[in-house]
This record gives sequence, C-alpha cells and structure tokens, in this order.
Amino acid sequence: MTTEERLAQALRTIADRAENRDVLPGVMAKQRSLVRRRAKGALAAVCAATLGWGMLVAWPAAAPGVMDTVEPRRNAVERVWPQAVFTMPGHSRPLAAISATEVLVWAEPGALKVYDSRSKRSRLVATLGQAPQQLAVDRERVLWIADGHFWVVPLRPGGQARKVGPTLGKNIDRIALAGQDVVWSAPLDGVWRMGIDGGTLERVARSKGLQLVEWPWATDEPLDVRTNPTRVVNLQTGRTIEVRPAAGVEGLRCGPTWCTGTRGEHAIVQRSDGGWNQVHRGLRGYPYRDRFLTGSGEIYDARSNTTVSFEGAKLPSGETQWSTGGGVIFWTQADGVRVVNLAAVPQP
Amino acid sequence: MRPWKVEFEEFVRARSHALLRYGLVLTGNADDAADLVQEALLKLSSSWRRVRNKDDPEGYVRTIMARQHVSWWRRRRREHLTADIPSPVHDDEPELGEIWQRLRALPARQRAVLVLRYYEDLADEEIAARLGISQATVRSQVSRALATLRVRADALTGRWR
Repeated sequence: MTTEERLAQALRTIADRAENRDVLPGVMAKQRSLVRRRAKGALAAVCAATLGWGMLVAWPAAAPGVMDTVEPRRNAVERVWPQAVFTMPGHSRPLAAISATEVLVWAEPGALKVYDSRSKRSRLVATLGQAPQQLAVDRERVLWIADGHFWVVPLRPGGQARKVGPTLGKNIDRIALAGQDVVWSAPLDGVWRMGIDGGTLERVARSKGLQLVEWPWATDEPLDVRTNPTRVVNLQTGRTIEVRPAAGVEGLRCGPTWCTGTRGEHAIVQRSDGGWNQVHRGLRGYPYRDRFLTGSGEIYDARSNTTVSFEGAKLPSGETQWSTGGGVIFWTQADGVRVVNLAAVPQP
Repeated sequence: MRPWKVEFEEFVRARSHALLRYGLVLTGNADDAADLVQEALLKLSSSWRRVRNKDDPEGYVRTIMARQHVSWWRRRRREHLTADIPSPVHDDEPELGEIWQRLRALPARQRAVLVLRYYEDLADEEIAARLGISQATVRSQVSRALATLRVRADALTGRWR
C-alpha cells in the first residue's frame, strides 16, 4: 500500500469518528450574537456548540412569525399516550426504541444497554469506547458504524459484538437491519446490502439512485432541499408509490404514506399520493414508522391525525430543548431523563 | 417560520454530520470542527437565497470551511497538539496515531490540500478553486506535505517510504 493510500484511509477512518453534534443551536446563537453586535456596535460572546446524543433541537420561547401551535400542555403526551412516557436514570441517554417497553441506551462511561421501562432495569449489550454515531436496531440486534466497519451485536444477554465488514464510501448516512442483512445507502448511490455473517456486498435490486427511508422503503431523494422526490419504492416487493406533491409544495420528504414539505409560509404534511394535505408548524423530515413527525415541541401522529405536546427542557435563555433518537424523544429534567417512546404508542 | 429558514434548517440537519466529518479532518479536533461548521453555516444562512439557486449549498459551505480554516490558522495559530484534546485515535492504533499526529503538525494550507485531494477526491483544478490559489501552488503544497509526511515517517518508524 502506498503512503497516499494510507493517508486516504486514515482520513476516512478519522472522519468516521466525528461526533454527530447538532450544530443548529450554535448557528442560531451566532446569528443572535451577530445581530447584537451589529445593533450595539460591541463585541458579544459567541456561544459554544451544544453537545447532544442524536438530534438535539431547540426552539425559541417566543418567535414572531412562527405559525400557531398547540397550546402548551393542552394535549400533553402524558395524557394522550401515558404508556409511552417514562423517566429513566440521568446517567443514560436513549438512542432508539426497540419495543413498547424497551429502549436502547448509551450509559456513561461507555456501554450500550437495553433499558426496560416496565421493570426499570437495564442489561448490558456491549461495552464501547464511544457512543455510536450511526446506529440501527431491531428486536434482535444493534448495528452501528465504527472504525470504517459495520458492527453487529445481539440484544440477548451474553451476545458478542462482531465486525461485519468494511463500509465502502465515505458518505453513508442511512443504515438499517434487514433480517440477516445489513443495508445502507448514500446520497444518489443506491441501497447496498451485506450479510451479517459476511459475504459479498451487492446493490439491492431496483435501488439505483435511491436512498433508504425505512427498510424496505427507499426514495429518490434529491440533493436540492427544495426539490421533490418522484417515488417511494418497496425494495422487497417492487411496489412503487408515485409522489404527487400538493399544489405549490416544495422540498417533500416522503415515506410510503406521509410526506413533509413547505408551501409559501407554511410547513405542510401531505399524503405521498397527494390525497390530503394540512398545514403544520415545524414538522420536517421523514416520518418514523411511516407515522410520527416531531418538531417544535410537538409530535404529530399522521395515522390518527393527533398532535400531542411535550415539555422539553427549559434553558436559562428561555429556549426549550429536546433530543431525538430512532423513535425516542427525550430531555433532561431534575429527576432524570424524560423519554417518549413512540414504539409504545398503540395503533389507532 | 419563513420557508427559507425551514429549508436552511433541513439542509443543516441533513448534512451537518458530513460537514463535521470534513471539519474534523481539516482542523484536527472535534471542537474546532464544530466551530468551523457553525461559522460556515452562519455565512451560508445569510446567503441562502442566493446560494440555493445554484443547487450546491454544500459545495459553498465546504469552500468556506476550507478557506476559513486556513485563515483562522494564520490569524490565531490555534493548532492543538497537546494531549488534553480528546483524540479520535485509540490507544491501540499506533500506526493511525502516527499518521494523524503528522497530519495535524502540517501547516493548515498543506493539510487542507491533502484533505481536499485524498478525502474529498478533488482534482487539482477543483482544489485551486476551492482554496482560491493557483494549480501550481496546489501541486507544490501537496508535494511539500507528502514529502514532510514521508520524511517524518522515515525518521520515526523507518518503515515508510
């Protein structure tokens, strides 16, 4: 191997270890600081980045021009979905929902654990040097990327973490478990699979140019955030749903049934087939389990057309902050970490 | 919320991890990477409506990051080579650790051209455009950086050419 090859590999390996912080609060803080500096003609402090697990979000206490929302606590998640809310010890952070009673958590100083909200006990899954940045979980296993490789560990007690194979390409941003396979995608590069027990990798049939949404669904997600996709495809059955944007809607991001996008001044939720749309505040991105959307202190269940609110953590600045993982929304409070487990919300 | 802000925030959420990865190899530590990404996104937010029409906001951000990184280094000389900065290299990876230490010891512009060539896979012409320098300068910087890495590698381990 030449030095140049070693160098390229070293850069990719190091880059893959970059912690996924949410940088938006820091950008917003810098914007506010810039405005203050301009207004007062004086230097202002620049806030540091906010560290978090998964996606960390903050929204301002009062934001003129923001669309109306559910009144605080009017439809509190504790009242509507009481079985989905619990408080866990503060030294752990949820990473993803596993079932109605179990969530995968990261416990300091370095362990993946399964926390059972019913028994209030946790069990060790694996000991790691640092929390995984890209992770997927099903009821049997956890998958993550570290050191340029996929790793899988069974959730059952005593399971051993196993290196599956090298990740090829530096832009992998969606990974999933699909039965006995690891699947992943990168922008415009299609969906690829590799057996958990090894073997060769292959591009999943019918996936060219598609990005994973939630296995087995994938979509032709455009790079331009204003552009709409044209289809959502089931890579197991070949079933294709043509995306029909509602009039004037841009930047749709669609699961098989539901999309979010923008139209003029408004954030929009619509059916992928164009059959229905509604204005919603702050809901963006792909739905979890083709059903739930989260934003601005609210969770919207598109299947039952229900919006619930959650408290979040109140910051000294007046902002409210929360974080999300796969199917979990959480924030720190005085007695621990408050968690909403969307896998515990019953079918309507 | 205005639509451009929704678009901008969606872009940030979708691409921030990729930008942090790029920032880490450019700057050498996670805190500086986050700071660099935020500064670049701040500039992008003020130019969003113009940049989005060119359909390449990420290229714009990456260009800002590369130039800002070199500029910061010149102004602040804030390279952290001390052990108190958390390292992305584990203790049981001596070979990777050696490469990383040497990369971090390079002047910012030399490291930037290596990152753009070997991490971003850009051609010299694209590297020159991104950094605002000539192609000849790109080639000379790459040559010096590679020579330094090789010389230091030889001196330290006696295994590399």
